[in-house]
Amino acid sequence: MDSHHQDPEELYVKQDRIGKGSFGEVYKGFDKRTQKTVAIKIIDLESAEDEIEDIQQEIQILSQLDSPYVTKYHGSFLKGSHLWIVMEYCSGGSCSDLMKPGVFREEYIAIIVRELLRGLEYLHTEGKLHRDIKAANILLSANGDVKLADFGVSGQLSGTLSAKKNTFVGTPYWMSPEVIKQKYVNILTSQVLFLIPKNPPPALEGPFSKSFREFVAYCLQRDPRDRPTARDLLKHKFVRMAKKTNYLTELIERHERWRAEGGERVEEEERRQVEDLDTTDPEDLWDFGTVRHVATVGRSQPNPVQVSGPPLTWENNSNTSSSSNNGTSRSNHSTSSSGSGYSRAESSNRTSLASSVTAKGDLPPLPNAPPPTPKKYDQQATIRHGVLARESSDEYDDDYEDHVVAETVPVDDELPDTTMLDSVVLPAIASLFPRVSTQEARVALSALQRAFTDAERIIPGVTMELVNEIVDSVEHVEDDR
Amino acid sequence: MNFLNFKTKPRTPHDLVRGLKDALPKLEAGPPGTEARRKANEEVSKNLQQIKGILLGDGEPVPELIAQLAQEVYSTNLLYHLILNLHKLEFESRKDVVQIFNNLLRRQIGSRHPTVEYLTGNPDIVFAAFKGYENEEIALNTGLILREMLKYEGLAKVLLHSEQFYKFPHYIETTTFGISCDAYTNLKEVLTRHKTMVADYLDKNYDRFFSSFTTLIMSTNYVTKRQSLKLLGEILLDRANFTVMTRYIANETNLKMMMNLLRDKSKNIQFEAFHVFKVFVANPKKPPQIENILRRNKQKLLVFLQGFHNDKEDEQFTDEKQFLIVQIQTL
Repeated sequence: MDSHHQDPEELYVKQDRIGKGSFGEVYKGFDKRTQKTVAIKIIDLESAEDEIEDIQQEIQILSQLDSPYVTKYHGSFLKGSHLWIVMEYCSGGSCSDLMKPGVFREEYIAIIVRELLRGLEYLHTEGKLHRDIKAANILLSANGDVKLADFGVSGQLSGTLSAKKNTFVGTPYWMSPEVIKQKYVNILTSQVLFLIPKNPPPALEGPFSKSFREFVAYCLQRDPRDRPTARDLLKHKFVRMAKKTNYLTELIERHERWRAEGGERVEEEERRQVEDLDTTDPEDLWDFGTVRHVATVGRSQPNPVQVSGPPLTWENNSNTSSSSNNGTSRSNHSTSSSGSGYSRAESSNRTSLASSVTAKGDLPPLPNAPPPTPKKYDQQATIRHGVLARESSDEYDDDYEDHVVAETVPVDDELPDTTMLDSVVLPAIASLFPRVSTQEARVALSALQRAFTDAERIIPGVTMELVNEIVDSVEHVEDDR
Repeated sequence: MNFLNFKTKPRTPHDLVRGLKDALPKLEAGPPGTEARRKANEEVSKNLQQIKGILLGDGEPVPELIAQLAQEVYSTNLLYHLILNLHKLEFESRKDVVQIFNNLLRRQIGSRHPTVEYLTGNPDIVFAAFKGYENEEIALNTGLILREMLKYEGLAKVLLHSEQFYKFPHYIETTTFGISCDAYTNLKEVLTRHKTMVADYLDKNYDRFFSSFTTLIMSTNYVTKRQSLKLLGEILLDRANFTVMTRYIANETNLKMMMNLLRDKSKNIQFEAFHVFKVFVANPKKPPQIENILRRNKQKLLVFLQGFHNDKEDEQFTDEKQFLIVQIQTL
């Protein structure tokens, strides 16, 4: 039986590539029938790490959405093993793109937040959860309309109310405490995440208005029952006072100016470098560039600069501060490719992410030198646990929510590799002392602590790798229920 | 317009259902763009909203109201009419229909599912939902309804035992990706959820089923082929389907097909084929025709398997492959 599947190339013309991620690539294009510009996301199913069912789930969700606050879905087509997902094109780019020239001023944030909340309100009344709200997934149209994109990890609440909404998906730094807690074992892979459920909620500090600070505090309440809904938040003064969306075109213009001045070049190269390191192992439970590989996400380096400075500064900063990144890595990564295999081969130079290039099951290369701080990007990457792994092209960039969290998460500047040792393993062993009764047992426990400490000194990062191995071997038990 | 609802008097389920049913034929009565059409559309969406409100409204559900509503829905055959007219409804109304439909399906009184019972007596509605795949505008809506129906064994049985069931390959092969996948998901649902019922069916309709299913395995469509092999593996390895499996792995044509698929250009397809192929080899009582083929290809198979997907870091796979190698060596 021959198929009558429509060939997407008969309907659409693919033009420039506008983005790239572990899932594949995003192109600008147009519909031959209407001449309208569209965005075309192309995924090679043969190398995608997601199950086809998960991709279908995303399409099912997209197809049921119709809102000015959500990027519109036009259809999906198969060509060989390549899937084309055709979506509305937002020429303004993503908020993370738009922040490259510098962070947004409060008045812009208010507008974006209002529009975003409207999108969320729509989704929530539809019984759908986005689960990965971040700057890279918030797009702007040419005239400043704000649209939510990337439903790769979104969930549908059925009438029977699935418990899925609490699963460990999304992007670590702005996950809520209850979501983090629920997947406790997985969290071991990222020490900083531990701090979110433990510490009191962070507060927005700095030269911001009272209503903004209040608004943020309102959103960040620890107990989810105290947290306002999107609809509640829309009534907040901070949002009500926001201007019209067409003011946002100023952000688009700012970004254009910045690009014209050459701002993009550095960005591009750094981005490629990170993309190279994305692996796609179809058998992997986890998406790459995410929490699973300890070295990538765990050691954030909230640098004082990030708080006030534009993200660009920060990215450069973390780049230069990574100890083993000697600057040659950029050029080595000038040709980029995604998909499994490539990344491993190309990452022969030791970039800051070198230790993250292992696919599941590989023995992670133990760093000789203290593992360098990961780039800023990694904190932004999305964890897609058994759900769609799809990242929009500019996933790795900064966003304001991240600022809010990152600047207040009380971690050391250097956040050393020994965090896993100091804050997890040693205390865990210590907690065993009261439970043993003989002196001999206590001596054994101390010896164990010393052994860990010694090992960590000789092989920095080893504790974390060990824990990671353990987590890897048990994580399937923790799968979505 | 939600705020209008508060102003109008709440209408009874009887009025709502009748009003909705009467408005449906008017949807495409006059020429497009006319007042009559607009009004009919408004009436439909308003009534759907209110019915939805009764079923899953914000406040406490009122059981009597829901019971009345359900009765009206059954006695007017509303579900059937909704599906038949679904393509005429507006985008949001279509979603409302799905929600209403699926909510009614889940409705339970004690251990009984009244809507499921109603549908079992009115299989036309099941088939109408299935036929939704023929219209791409509504296929994903009807697909969702069908998915909910197939959760109930009685309804899955209605479809599986019907002539229409054999339209699945057609729907899977002739629609665009999203719809094709949806149809596949439902096919899989029919074939895997209610195991004993399915095992019995497959046993009795072995030839017809597998000749149809083989067309999917040999599809030129990458996704269909890959998904079908995966599903075949699942079906065969299910304990409930033991007799079916025994029959499948005694057939040399099936073995040849899998051996060819092991060499497909797609790694994923090779891998899925492996999981079917292994059952032939692992069979302790291989019929002579199967053993002959394997023995004839012994050396080639050994070389092939030694080099097969060595980059996979899947312990179970590695073990299984090793097991096959040993089995083939002892032939």
